[in-house]
Amino acid sequence: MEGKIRELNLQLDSIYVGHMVFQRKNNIDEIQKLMPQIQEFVLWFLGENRFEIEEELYQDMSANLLEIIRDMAQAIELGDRVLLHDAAAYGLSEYLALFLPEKEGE
Amino acid sequence: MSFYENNLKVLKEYYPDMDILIEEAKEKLECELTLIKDVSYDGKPILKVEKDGKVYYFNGKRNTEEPAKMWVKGLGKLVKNSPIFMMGIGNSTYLEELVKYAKSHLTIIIYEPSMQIFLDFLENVDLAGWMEKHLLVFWVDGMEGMDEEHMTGILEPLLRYELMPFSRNIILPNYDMVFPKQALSYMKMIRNLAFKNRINYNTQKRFSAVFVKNVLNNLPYLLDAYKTTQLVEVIPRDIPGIVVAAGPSLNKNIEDLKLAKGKAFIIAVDTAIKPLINAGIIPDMFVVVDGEKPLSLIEKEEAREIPLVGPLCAASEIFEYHRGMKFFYNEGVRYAERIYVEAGMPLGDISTGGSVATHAFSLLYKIGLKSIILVGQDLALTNNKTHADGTFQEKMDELDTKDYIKVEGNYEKEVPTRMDFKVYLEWYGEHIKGCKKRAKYLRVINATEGGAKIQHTEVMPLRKAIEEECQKEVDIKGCLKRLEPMLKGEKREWAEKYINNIPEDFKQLAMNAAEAIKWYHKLDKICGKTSINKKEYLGILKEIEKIVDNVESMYSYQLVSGTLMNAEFILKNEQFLEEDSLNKEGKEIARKGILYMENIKKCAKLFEELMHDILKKFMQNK
Repeated sequence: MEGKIRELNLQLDSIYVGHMVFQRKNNIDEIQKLMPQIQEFVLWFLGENRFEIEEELYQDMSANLLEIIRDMAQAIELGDRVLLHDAAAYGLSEYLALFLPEKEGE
Repeated sequence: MSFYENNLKVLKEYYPDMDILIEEAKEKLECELTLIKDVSYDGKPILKVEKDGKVYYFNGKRNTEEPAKMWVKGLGKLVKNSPIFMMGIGNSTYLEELVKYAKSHLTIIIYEPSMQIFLDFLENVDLAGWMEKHLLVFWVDGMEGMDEEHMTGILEPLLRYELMPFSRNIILPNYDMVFPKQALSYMKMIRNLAFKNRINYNTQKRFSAVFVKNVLNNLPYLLDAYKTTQLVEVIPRDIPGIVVAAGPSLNKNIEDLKLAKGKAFIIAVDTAIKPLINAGIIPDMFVVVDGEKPLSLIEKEEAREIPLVGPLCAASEIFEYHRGMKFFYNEGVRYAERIYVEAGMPLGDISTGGSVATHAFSLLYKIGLKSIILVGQDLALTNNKTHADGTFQEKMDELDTKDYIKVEGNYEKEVPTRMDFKVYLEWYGEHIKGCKKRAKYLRVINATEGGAKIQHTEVMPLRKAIEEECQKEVDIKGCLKRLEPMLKGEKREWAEKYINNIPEDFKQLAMNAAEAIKWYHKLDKICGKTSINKKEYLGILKEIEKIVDNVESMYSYQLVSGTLMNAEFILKNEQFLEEDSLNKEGKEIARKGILYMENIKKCAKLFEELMHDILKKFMQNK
């Protein structure tokens, strides 16, 4: 799974740069194309407490991840690029970073 | 004092009455959006907007600042006075980050399509520090006087060609979703202005070599010429004007034009002259604008006597060949303006629009005619041809137009066109709209039987247009005979001396440039020292400024600088780059100054000789 997470993280990073620095207007289409991989990661995360952290914290993290996914789905449906970028870059990507070596995840 | 009150006070200091305009707009405000105030996860205020039942975020709820910071970092080095065009203020962190990040003074133009959002912005930020650091220009829909026409006037000088590489543009995320129409027209406006400035620059660059040759060659013709403003005195206004352009459709209805002869003021573009004469139609006047128009296009014995209209910079070979009445309009050549003033002629003149036909249209409108009929004004490649047969070639080539831009046609659903034609097409639409606003009586008929649809015109076959509009007999030749040349007696003598003195003027310009070079060398010398005497440095700069002002105020400089467009572009472009130390800056100023003044000196000497030759030839021909 680590390889898949790394690949997903790389692809998302390039979309973020395109959106923020170059003002590309296609972050919705591009992230939508990655939804199967994102879904796979979410299911993988929700499937098991991988870090064996405190159960309460794990439940909070799971709930937060579900909210992120809900925001992403809503943003894609409405065409809201701000919400989508926010949920993906400052929500989902932080979860991906947890499973990557520190330098890559930053 | 609240942020809002304080901001009104600040805005008033920079833009008198803006506070009143904001208050007035606030009173009249009709809320089209629902603004939803929220707080981000890290406790920062964020704004959401509800429109047509959909809610859009302007700031992220997890991170409100990072996207703006990233955008600003991605802008790269922002040089002094760079213009930054920003659509949207709903997320003020973009502007805030830009203001903080930019070390040099910027010109930031902010277009906000919603008065509601602008008012919310004023309630939540403190503009005072921002306005001190940069020039902020707000353009808000819903405020009096802030319409596209005014905005074009503000944006045009900021989109100067030499500034374009330094300009930046952003539409805040989601503004194109909430305000799709406004975002599109804003982008279109910026694109068109940039395109127009680029065309202007390229045209000037392209013609800069022939510009001076034409102006200097044509200047002596002013002595016996007429000014277009004189036409108002003799052309009756109750007849229609007909602009005959040289589009491919001209071949379809050229014969019908015979019905209008003697019943309208027929003005043709230079390229239409040959097909018209070949069809037995002598127009009342023809226009030439292009500096490189080949003489062969009008080389017909009959054309030599047809009154001619043009600017001084039009192809001098045509003016030399021509023997009839010559009408000039003011295109800003200072030598000519001085003569117009002496002749008691008003300076203001026709709008250009870029093509020969748009000049002709503008002239007819300025004369005050109540109806104008356009013929052969295709502005498209009707039947895949650029011009009518019998213009550049007896039979024009058919082009493959499948990759051309398509626009709405007069008779067809869409027709292929070129980018330059499209610019003229848009000019016509806007210009006619403006003309009709000012002159309610104006009727513009597009009797081009093919081609692109021009907004605000009535499409009609030429025969029908003539039946409706050409009701009265008119002898245009007789009307024009009543005019006297603009210079007579002593005024003509004065003008002759004035023109004869132009070589001397170029000589003086070369001398002034040499003087400037001397001072630039002094500057270079003191900047080579390790410690600079600031008093001496500033003294030299002051002296240079005085001499440069003197150089730039000379009429001869206008012609020389026009020829040095490329050098001027490089220097103007570089002036926005700053150096780290006084030594470096001074040496740079000196280097550029010497380079530029050397070119001016050389050019002025060449023009002095050229004008001598022109005057000699003119006297011989006389």
